Amino acid sequence: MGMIPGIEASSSALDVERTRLDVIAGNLANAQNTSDANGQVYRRKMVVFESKLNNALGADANMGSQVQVARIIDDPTPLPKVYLPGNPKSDAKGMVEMPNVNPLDEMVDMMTATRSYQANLQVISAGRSMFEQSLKIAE
Amino acid sequence: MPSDGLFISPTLQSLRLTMDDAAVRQQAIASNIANVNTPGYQRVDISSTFQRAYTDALKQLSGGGSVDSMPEPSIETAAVQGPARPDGNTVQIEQEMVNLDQNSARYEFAAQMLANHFHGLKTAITGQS
Repeated sequence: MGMIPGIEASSSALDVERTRLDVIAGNLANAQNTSDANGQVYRRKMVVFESKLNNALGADANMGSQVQVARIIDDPTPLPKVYLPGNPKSDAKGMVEMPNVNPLDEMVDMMTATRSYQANLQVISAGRSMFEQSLKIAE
Repeated sequence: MPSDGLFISPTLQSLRLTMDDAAVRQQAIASNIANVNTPGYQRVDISSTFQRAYTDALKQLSGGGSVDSMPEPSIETAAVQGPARPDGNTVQIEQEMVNLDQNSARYEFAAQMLANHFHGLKTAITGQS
């Protein structure tokens, strides 16, 4: 169990939310990017979470799960087209594909990630005060 | 052990049981809050078999009796209080935060009572407080 109960699950969640915030920052920074590393239009990235069973105690696999990033995938929604005839990437009709990044969606995700991070910090803090209190038993 | 008489009283046993229960529930709550955004995750809590054993043991101990063996706490997928969200997740963050507060308060209460008990014993043994 470790000294502070629940710390593995909570610290895994902190890592995961930090990764999500990195991905959100990347999306917002590339919201107008028509040429990424491969020369393609930037596609919005999303993180997919999954639970990781905490098998550290061996027999009892159900002692609470940690969370991890399963994969970072491209958002498959279609790319919007914008009329920009002077752009070097425009096709015959003057339409350019732009990234499918919606800043409002990103802001909402960012709020979720921040709140989740705060909630997990509170869990760690509660666990630590429980531990400190138990140290006082023998004082 | 000959000195058991000092340390095995119903009060101590029930306090110990409370602390065990609260420590394991803390793990379940931490797991739920950590997985609040994981698709398909089912919230977990102390298993119902342990909850029954726990209330039975407390009843026995409060009557001044004793318990032969302390029940072992375990975690299992819990009853759900409402519909699952569209991604299959059944965690309700407000409920988990309230449980977190109550649980850590229970643990600290039991730890404080134990501390007082041992402090009293020390006073009785050494004659000084």
